[in-house]
Parts: sequence; structure tokens; C-alpha cells
Amino acid sequence: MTTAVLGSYPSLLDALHADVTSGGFVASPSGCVLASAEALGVAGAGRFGRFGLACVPVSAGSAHDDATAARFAEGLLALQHMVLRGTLAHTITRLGERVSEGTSLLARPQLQADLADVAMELQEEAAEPEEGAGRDVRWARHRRLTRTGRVLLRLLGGYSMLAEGPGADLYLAEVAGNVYLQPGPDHRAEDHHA
Amino acid sequence: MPEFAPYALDTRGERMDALEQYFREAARELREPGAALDADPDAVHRFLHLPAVRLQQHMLTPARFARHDDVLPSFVPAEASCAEWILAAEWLAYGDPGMTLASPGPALSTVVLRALADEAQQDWFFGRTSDWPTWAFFALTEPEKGSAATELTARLDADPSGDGWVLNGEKMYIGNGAHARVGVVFCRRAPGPWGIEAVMVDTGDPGFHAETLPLIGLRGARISRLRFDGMRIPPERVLGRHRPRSRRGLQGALQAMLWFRPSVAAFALGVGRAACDYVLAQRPALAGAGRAEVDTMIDRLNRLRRLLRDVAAEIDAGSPNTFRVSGVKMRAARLAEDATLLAARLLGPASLVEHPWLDKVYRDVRAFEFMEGTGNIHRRGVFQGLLRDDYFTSRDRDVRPGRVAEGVV
Ligand SMILES: Cc1cc2nc3c(=O)[nH]c(=O)nc-3n(C[C@H](O)[C@H](O)[C@H](O)COP(=O)(O)OP(=O)(O)OC[C@H]3O[C@@H](n4cnc5c(N)ncnc54)[C@H](O)[C@@H]3O)c2cc1C
Repeated sequence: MTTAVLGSYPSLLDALHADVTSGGFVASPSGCVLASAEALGVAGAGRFGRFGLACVPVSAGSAHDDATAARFAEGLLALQHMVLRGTLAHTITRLGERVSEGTSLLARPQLQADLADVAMELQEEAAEPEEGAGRDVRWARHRRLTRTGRVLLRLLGGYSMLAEGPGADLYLAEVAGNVYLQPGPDHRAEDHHA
Repeated sequence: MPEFAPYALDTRGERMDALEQYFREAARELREPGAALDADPDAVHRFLHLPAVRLQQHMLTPARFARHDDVLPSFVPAEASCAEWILAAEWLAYGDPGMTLASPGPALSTVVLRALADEAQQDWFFGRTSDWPTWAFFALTEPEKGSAATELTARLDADPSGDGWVLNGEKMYIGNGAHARVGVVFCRRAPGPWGIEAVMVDTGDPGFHAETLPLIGLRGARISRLRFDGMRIPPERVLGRHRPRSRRGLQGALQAMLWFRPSVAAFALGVGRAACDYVLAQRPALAGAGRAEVDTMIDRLNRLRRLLRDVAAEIDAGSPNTFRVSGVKMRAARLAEDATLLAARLLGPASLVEHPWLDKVYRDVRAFEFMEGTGNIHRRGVFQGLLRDDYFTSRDRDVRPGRVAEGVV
């Protein structure tokens, strides 16, 4: 699958948790679990509740070993990538429908260049090298995807600020990266001891 | 709640210093209301007693309609200049940008009224917005027409009864639209840019429909979708109706956006600075590369702030460089995004979960890209300025013969 349905980030995140842990949740390095409010049984609660997500302190039974964390982190990047592919397609459709000075906005070289940059970034990101990468590299990949997402959000105009539009999924993907992918100040020492 | 870090005041004369000091103090009260508003945008009603919430109405109202009470000190001006208003906007946004946009007052429409309205029209509009609390809107954007505002499609047709007009159409992303008592609506009476009119509406009149749209960030702006269904517009509500077509409707929209663009930049710089100060307050021992990144961000902020003051002064002098206004607004919006991304990174893993204030401004700042024109439109503007060799030249140093200095308001 290369695209995601609008508004589906919470359920895709749940599926990733379930996939990596055979039905459980993966704990973040800082000791919390981010998943759909529904799956965590805290529907409507907290700041992220209006986006369908919740963040709760880690409970017994949440997986946090290094191998699981690494698989989950790769899965999160794949998810962010998938959301961006979906948003790119959505952006092209939307800009194609918006007309200014008699032509669609897609005819604007400025916008064409932005869309092409996004596509090239996503394609590069999707190419899998033979060697796996560590946390620093995954974090850098997340930051690049975040920047790419911000380009798409700008292209979507005011629509990207609506809670019911693609902006919400991209925001949640950024939050998930902040929670799970961002290395702490002492992670290099941890890696060394592992 | 985050601390307000010490910040060196500018030296531009005692009055501006006193104003800046006052705005800065007043804005301190906005952090908690800002958080409440993020949870429930209608919570603004709980905070109407705060002086900071009064500022917008007072400063954007023409002096003859301003009500002087003891909520604000007498040195806070009514009918503020652009330079004064950006100072307020920057510090208010430092406190909370959502609260600032949620505050009652005439908002952007004030400039349209000041530019186009006759005395009776000003009485009608400002008579209403001077009541406390009253919100007003400025409705230009449509569901299908945002940046291409001159192609707007809302229609103003002659009333079949022979007296006045009938308004039909939709508007989108309109700040405070669903909560306003009055507003200015841009609509089309004839084809082409000069066929655009600006009309005043009373939201209590039949034919007005509005809904607030749930936003990701800047939820205090309460942006709304509006529908006008055969709304009757009496002839005297058409702004500038005695002026030539090229000097009303669209002219009012352009002037309002030009005047307010610097304040969007000021909002962005205020939040950007708040994000930097927040990092330093949370990590007082921050050193090395992280500290250098914050210092660099603050340096960029200070440079843009300087440019912002210059463009505002040019607007006040009636000789704006529209290209440079565009550039400052666009760069400030980007800087605010960069500052919040940096803060989230420097505060470490799960910072967006552990720092609710940061998470809020992280969502809020994206809106500055779209308010008063998107980055792409401003980049085009800057390019036009370059082509005309008019981007870098300061107005006060521009001695080319025949240079037309067009007044803003
Ligand atoms: C918080 C908030 C408050 C707002 N308040 C108000 C308000 O009070 N009143 C009001 O009238 N409006 C308001 N707006 C609307 C705002 O002015 C529009 O969102 C903005 O003008 C962009 O229009 P759009 O969203 O339709 O995007 P579009 O115009 O559809 O733009 C989509 C993308 O195409 C690009 N683009 C468009 N045209 C061109 C071009 N010719 N060349 C190159 N690129 C182009 C844009 O840069 C953008 O990236 C508000 C918006 C927000 C987010």
C-alpha cells in the first residue's frame, strides 16, 4: 500500500503497534504509549483526543526492547511516508481543481517544482539500502519527511489548517516522530552499552 | 506556564518604550486563557475583562468612536498607527496568538472603513463595534477562491424591488465570522477587478448563515464558513459608493491587507521569540550547538523585527514598499515555523506531549503562512519588486523623479 485514507492515522498507528508486538503496544523511550484513544480506552481524553489519539504512561505489557523499538521506528517512518504519498495525491487533485486566471493552479511552475521536489524526496526515502540505520539516521529521515510534509501543507492552503483535512494526519505523524523517533541526549551511550 | 524571559527594550523614544512595556506586561495574562481557548475556542467569553483583550478594539477603532474607560492607560492610542499596532501584535502574540485573534473589535475591517466609508457608514459600523464585546469580520476568501481573490464570485445583484442590493455567495476561513455582529463582505457587482464591491452586513439580518470550522491550530481565530442567501443590502451599506469604481471595493481589500500584513509578521515574530525564550527558560544550561541554534534564531528574529519596523514606518508615512512588506511577512511566517520545530527538537523526545504550551504554538504558527496572502504569492511580489528595481530601495532614500507615493489609509 502506498497511500493512506484521509484521517486514518490513528487506526494505522494501532495496526502498526499490533503488527510489531502481536497485539500489544510499543512503549516510547521516554516511557509512554501513543495510539488511538479508542484502542487505549481513553476516548476523547487529553489534548490529542480531538485528533483521535491519546498518549498514556507506559503500562506493564508494553514492549520496549531494542529490536521491537527498531522495527516499530521503521514502521513509523513507513507510515509517515504512506501518509505523505496520500497527501501528495490529494494535493495534486485539489490544486488541479482550483482555477486562477483561467488555468488550474497545477499549471503554475512554482507549484509544479514544489510537487516534484516532494515526489523526489519521497522516492529517495522509499529506496531501501542494504544496510539498516540507527536512531540518529532514522530521526534525520523523520525530520526530512516532516519538512516535506510542511511543503504539502503550504500547497494545500487554508484547508491544511482544518482538523478534518490531511493536516491532522501530518501533524500526528510529526507527534509520533517526536515521541518515538527523537533520540534523547544520552542515547549514544545507551547504544554503546547495548 | 512558561516564564517570560527578560528582553531588552528598543530605544525609540519614551512613548514607544512605555507602550512596549505596557503591551509586554498585559500580554503576560494571556498564556492561561490561550490554553483554555485551544481546548474550547468559545472560552474567550471568560477572559473579556483582561486589558490585553481590550487592546484590539481600542487600538483599531478611530479616535472619535473610542471609548475611554479605566481598563487601559491613557497613553494607549486609539486609531493606532501601523508601527504602534505591530508592537502590540508582537507582544500579544508572545502572550498568545489565539487570544489576540479571538479578541473583540473591528479587526481588518477597520482599514476598509477608514479607507472607503463616508461619515454615516463609519457611524453605522463603528457605532456597533464600539459596544463591548462586539466582533467584526472581513470576508474576502471563498471556498474556491483564496489567493485568486480578484476572481471572487459572491454576487451583488440589484434588488428586484428597485431599492438596494441582494447578496448571494459563500465565504471561507473568515476569522470570528460565526460570532460577529457586523462585517465587511467583498462581492461582485460586475465582471473584472473593478466590479468588486465592499458591503457592510449585519449578521442579524435574514439570509446570513455561519458555522465555525474546527481547526488544528490557532483555534482562537474561530475561522468560519459563511453563506449569504439572498441577503438584502440597503444602498447605503455599499462602501465608497460615491467613488469611482477603481477606488472602492478591491482598493479597500488591498489596503486592509497591506496594513495588516505587518501585524501577521509581528504575530509570527512574537510567537517565534516566545518559543526561543521557552527553550532557554526550560534549559537554562543549554550550551554548544543547541545554544548556538537558539542564538541564531534570535538573531534572525531581531533582523526581521528591524525590517518590520521599517516597513510599518513606511506604511505610516503613506509610502509603503508593498514588495518589502510581502517579503517580511513571508519570512516571519517561516521563521515562526522554524522556531517551533527547533524548540520541539531541543526540548527532547516527547516534548510535544510534555510541554502543552509548545504543542499549541507548534500547531498555531502554521496559520501565519496563509493569513494576508500565502508565501508563494509574496514570493511573486518580491520578484516583481526585483524586476522593478524597487525591492531594496528605502522610500526615504528613493529620489527617483515621478515616484508616486500612494497613501495607505
Ligand atoms: C487562521 C486563518 C485565518 C484567516 N482569516 C481570514 C479572514 O478573516 N478573512 C478572509 O477573507 N480570509 C481569511 N483567511 C484565508 C486566507 O486568506 C487564505 O487561506 C489564503 O488567501 C489562501 O487561500 P486558499 O487557502 O484558498 O489557498 P489557495 O489560494 O488555493 O492556494 C493553494 C496553494 O497554491 C498557491 N498559489 C495560489 N495561487 C498561486 C499563484 N498564482 N502562483 C503561485 N502559487 C499560487 C498558494 O501559495 C498555496 O500554496 C484565513 C486563513 C487562515 C488559515
